[in-house]
Amino acid sequence: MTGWTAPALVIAAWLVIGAGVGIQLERKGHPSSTAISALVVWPILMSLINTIPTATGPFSEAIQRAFHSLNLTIADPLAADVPWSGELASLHQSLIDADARLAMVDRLLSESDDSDASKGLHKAREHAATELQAVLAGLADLRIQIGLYALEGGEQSVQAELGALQARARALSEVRTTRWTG
Amino acid sequence: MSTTLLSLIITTLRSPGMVVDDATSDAQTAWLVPRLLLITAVGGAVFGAVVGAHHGGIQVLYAAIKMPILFLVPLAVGLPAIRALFATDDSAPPWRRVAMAGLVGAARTGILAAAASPFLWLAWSLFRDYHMAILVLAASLLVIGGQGLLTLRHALPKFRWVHVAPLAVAFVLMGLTTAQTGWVLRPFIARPSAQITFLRPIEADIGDALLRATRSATGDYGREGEEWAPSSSGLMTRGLRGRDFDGGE
Repeated sequence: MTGWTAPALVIAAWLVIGAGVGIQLERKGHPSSTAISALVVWPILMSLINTIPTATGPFSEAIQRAFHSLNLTIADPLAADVPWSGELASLHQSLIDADARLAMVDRLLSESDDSDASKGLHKAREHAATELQAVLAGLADLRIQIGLYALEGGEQSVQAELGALQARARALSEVRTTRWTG
Repeated sequence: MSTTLLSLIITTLRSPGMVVDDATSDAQTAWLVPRLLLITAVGGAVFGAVVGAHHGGIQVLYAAIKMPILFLVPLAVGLPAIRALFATDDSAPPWRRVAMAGLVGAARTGILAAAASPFLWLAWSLFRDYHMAILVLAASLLVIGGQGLLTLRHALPKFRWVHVAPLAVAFVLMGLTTAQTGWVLRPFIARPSAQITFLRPIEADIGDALLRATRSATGDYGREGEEWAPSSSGLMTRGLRGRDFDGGE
């Protein structure tokens, strides 16, 4: 067809590179959907070749849901002047890290026998899971505080709630640090 | 942060900037990209099928395949140029952010295109004329694509007056790239008497075609005996054809 030789070569080259990136992503353990997407948008996904996908933990969806709801609340124009200290990203990351640790512990527990050490690990796991759930419940309370702020003002209450959540999330990491450093 | 495909669609429509902001980590990018592509492909295919329904038959399938490509190809061509336009700025956006904004924009265009499909179907029953249908399609794509294009602003630096020129160039660049991609991928609406093909030879350009379609829609078919065909003197002419042209846009 007239004039289509050069475009066809460019398209073929694009697909060949995309297939190469997709194969690499598949080998690194990324989902098949991500690997197939590389055929079309490999420039975006090339950076993922050097990363190993992190395991998602038992609270992965709950964390995403909680932050999705919170982000929608913050995006509401009525909540535009809510005083944020800009620490939500670190709070989110703390929860994702804690969730990944739970995933690792779950994997270990499923492979271990019924020894005392396993029982200790199981107890520590339950404690960490309870703490994580408490922070998630706190995120729901934070949304209510934002609603109250929109109606009645009182920025201290919102900041206090956020500060308390950040402290609890930090504690999730600090307990772990204390435990391992003795 | 979206957790399901449905919530991603809603967030892409209501707060596309939030989706762009979410794609900061590798894990989130790996989750978002396939889903945004799926939304673009399905939305574009529905819109394309309705566009192809103006002619009917196999053209429904052809247009459904080509329309998502029309939404995605301009990103590959235009985004690196847009990134380069702002490269000298102190707060130049990271490449991944620009790319994700483009992808979110394409997904938003796909959603809006699918939503606009019933209206276009209604328009086909009102405007059976081939040339008028081309103009209606071009106007629809302008409105729908414009909304997707606006999503790119979430990736660009905070507005300063010095950005007016690069912003204008970026807007024109993406518009021209999309329009010319549409021309290269034609026909979407085949002429009623045309032999249907998946793609036409590359010739002339979109500006020339729209000018002639506008003239024809107003009843100006040129001199007596002159055949309607894209000019072979367009800006991006690849070869001389014209007399054997029997296609559409």
